[in-house]
Amino acid sequence: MAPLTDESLLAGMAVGDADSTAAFVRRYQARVYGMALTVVGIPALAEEVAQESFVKAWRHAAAYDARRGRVATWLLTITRNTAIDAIRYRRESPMDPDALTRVLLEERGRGGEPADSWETTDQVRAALRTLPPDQSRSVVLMTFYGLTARDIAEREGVPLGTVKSRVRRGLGALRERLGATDA
Amino acid sequence: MPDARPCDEVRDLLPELAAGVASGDDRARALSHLADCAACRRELTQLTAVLDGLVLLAPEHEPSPGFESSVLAALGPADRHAGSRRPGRVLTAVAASVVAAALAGGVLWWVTADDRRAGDQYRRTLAEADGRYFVAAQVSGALGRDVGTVFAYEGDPSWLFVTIDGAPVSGEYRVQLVTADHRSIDIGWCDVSDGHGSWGRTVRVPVGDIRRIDLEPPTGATLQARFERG
Repeated sequence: MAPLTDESLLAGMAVGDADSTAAFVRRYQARVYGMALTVVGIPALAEEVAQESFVKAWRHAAAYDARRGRVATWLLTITRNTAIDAIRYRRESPMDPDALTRVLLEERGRGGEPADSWETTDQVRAALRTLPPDQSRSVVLMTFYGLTARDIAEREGVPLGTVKSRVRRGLGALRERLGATDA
Repeated sequence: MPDARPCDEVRDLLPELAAGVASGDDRARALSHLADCAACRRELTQLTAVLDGLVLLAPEHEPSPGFESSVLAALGPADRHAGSRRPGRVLTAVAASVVAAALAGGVLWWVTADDRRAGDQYRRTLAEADGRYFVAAQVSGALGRDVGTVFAYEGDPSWLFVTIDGAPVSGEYRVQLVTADHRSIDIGWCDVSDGHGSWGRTVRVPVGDIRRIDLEPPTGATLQARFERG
C-alpha cells in the first residue's frame, strides 16, 4: 500500500488522529531535528526546538494551506523560526555561516525529492554552489539565522547597501538558475 | 493603482519580506505597495520559492532515542488547546488576574489624581508577585486607532499579555517582539475572533529592551504597540 501523503497525515493530525500524528512525527523528526541543530548547534537545545516545532505544527495543522507551499517547507520554516527565537532568547551565537554553507552544499541522498518549482534539492544545492562566497554568506545568514540586512552589515562590518546588493544579486542568481516561477 | 513608492525601493525590501525577517515598518510599507503592484507580487513569489528551496537543504540528523515518544507525549491525547498549552493557559490566567488587579485597584496609578494611593497599590502588587515594574502600551491599528493594549511585566519570569478589542480582521495574528536594537522575534500567535482576543506568554527579553510589539493579521495592516523608552 502506498504511504499516506504528507497532506493526509497533516489532515489526520488536525482532527486528532493518533496514528497520523505518530506517522507524521516519525516521518519528519530527522529533518526537523536536523534543521534545529543546523541553526542552534546544541543538541539538547535542538531537541527542545524540534519538540516545540512539532507542537506548533500540531496546533496549526488545520490552518495549513497547500497552495502556499509544501508540508516540508511549512514545517521546516516553523522549525527555523523556532530555532531563531531560541538562539535570540539565549543570546547564543549561531554557527559560522561559511561552515553552515559547506554543510548545506554537502551531497546527500535526498536528491530525488521535488523542491517546489524545480525538480530536486540537488538543483538548489548546485545553484547555491555557483554563488560567490560573499553572496552565499549573506543569503544563508538571512535564510537560516533570520538576520536582517542591517544585522548582517553589523556582523560582517560592511555597509548596509553592500549587504542588500549581495542578497539581491545572490537571490536573483539563484532564481535565474532554478528558473523559479510564480506558479 | 500602485502607490507612489517606486518599485525599485520596495524591491529592496522583498528579500527580507520573503525570508520573514522584515521589520514591521518595512513590512507594512511593502505590503501597501504590493497590494496594487502585480509585478512586485510576482517578484516576491519567486523569491519566496527560492528561499523555500534553500530551507529544504538543511541536513537530516537523528534525534536521541526517546525523542519521538516525548514529542507524542507533548502532543498528547488531550485536545490541542488544553494539552500542550496548559502552561500558556495558566500564564494567561495569572496574567489576566494581575492585569485585572492592576486595572481594578491600580489603573488609577495611571490616570487619576490620587497618585500616592495608586503608587502604594502598584508597589504592593509588584511586591506580591516579586516583580520590578509593569508597563502598558496601546495597540494601534490603521490610522492610529487604538484597538487594544499590551501589558509588559518585568519580573521572574517576565511576561506579556495582549488584549485586543475592535481589531478589523479576525483570525490568527502573528505576534512579534521588536527589540531596541531592531531585532524582530516571533513569540507566538494571538487568536482574534469578532475583533476580540487575548494572549500571553513569558519572555526572556528584558522588558526595558522591548521597543515594540507587532501583531500581524492574516490580511491587512500590522497592529503595533510601541513602548516609550524612559
